[in-house]
Amino acid sequence: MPETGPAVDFEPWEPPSWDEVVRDHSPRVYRLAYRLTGNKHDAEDLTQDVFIRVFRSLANYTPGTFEGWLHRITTNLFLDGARRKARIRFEGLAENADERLEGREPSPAQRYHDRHFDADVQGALDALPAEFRAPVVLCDIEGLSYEEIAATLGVKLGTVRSRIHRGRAQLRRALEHRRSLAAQAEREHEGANASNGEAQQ
Amino acid sequence: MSSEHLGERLSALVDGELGPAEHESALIHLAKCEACRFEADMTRRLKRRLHGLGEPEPDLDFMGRLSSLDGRPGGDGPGPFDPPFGGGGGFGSSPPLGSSRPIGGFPGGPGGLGGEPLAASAQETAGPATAAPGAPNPGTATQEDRGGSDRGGSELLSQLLNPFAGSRYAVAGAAVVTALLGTAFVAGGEAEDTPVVEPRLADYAVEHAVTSRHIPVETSPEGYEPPPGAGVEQAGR
Repeated sequence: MPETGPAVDFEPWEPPSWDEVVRDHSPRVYRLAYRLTGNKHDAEDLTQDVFIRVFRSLANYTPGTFEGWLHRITTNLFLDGARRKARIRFEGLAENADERLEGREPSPAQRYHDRHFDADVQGALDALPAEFRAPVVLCDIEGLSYEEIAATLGVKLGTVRSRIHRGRAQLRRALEHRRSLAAQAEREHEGANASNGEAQQ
Repeated sequence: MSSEHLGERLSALVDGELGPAEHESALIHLAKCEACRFEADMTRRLKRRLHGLGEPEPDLDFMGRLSSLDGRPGGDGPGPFDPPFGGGGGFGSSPPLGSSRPIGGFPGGPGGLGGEPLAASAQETAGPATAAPGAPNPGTATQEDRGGSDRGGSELLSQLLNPFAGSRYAVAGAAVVTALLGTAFVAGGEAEDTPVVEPRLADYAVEHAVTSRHIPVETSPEGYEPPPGAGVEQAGR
């Protein structure tokens, strides 16, 4: 007889107070939301959506599964939102993408070097399709096992494995791309410095 | 088999997600294949980099707004979003409505007879007529009462509900709390009209238990416990 884990250990349970729930769980939900969405504003919106649902379901709180459930609704809400946005953005995609690339990459080389180390990785993560981003974030940032990720996303173990693999491959390509763009920007910047001094600052 | 590159198994290897046999054969392949060694190295580096990302903390201000999601007055007020079911007392964590202020509005403040109408109205929920026997004119008393400054946190609530005269408000408030508690605890916080999150927590609990193999798989009884007659019969032949 296998040992019973915490997931099936149903004791009489008193739901925690709302303040406790917020205090204990919001930092983790927010961190995941931030890595999934890539910015503070969207992370706060997503976290808030999650907690509205948590609030409605608090009576069903069971210790042990709650954390996994939070991962799951956070990820699912993010994926839903990403699909909605993808439909809306579809028309303007080409110009937006160009603008974003140009707005960011030719920035002076010093600023690139000064930029926080995280920004590059987060930028590459943002460029990843949501379906690949979620399992990679859950695996590499949240440290979940493939099994836990499969449960979180509601997909098969093999799907998790292949999405993580493909997601990482894309992530590496994106990082290399950003690196080469940065190197190019640096060369251009040096060229500019040589011709017109520190005009660019 | 081992002449092919690792492909997907590479990620699983780096994540420690290969079974013992697969793990072994992947390591054997790595020892022979420089391309896969390079890939594994890059994958590990990426994983480290992702893992080393800073941990963004939610603003205290934002956490305050989350805390006020349960509809209690306090924090920064209702803020940009409304409580999911518009009212106070979601989980019984807030004090009972009306407990911190004199019901029926005695100008004298919380002392004296102030507590009695509260008890009466909390027990009887028949209607406004039964409450506050000692208050000749609840309406005007409440107006005076509102001017008082000793109510602290419940001030906001009474402002929200000030169309109600004092005692009527207490009865209505008690009814609202009862209704809300009923929704929250009996129906599991998910009334029919609220959108249900997918999956429900209860479903997830079961699913998670199955996925992570916390629930023992039922073994068929014949496996280790043959019917009593069978063994004897076999032995006889």
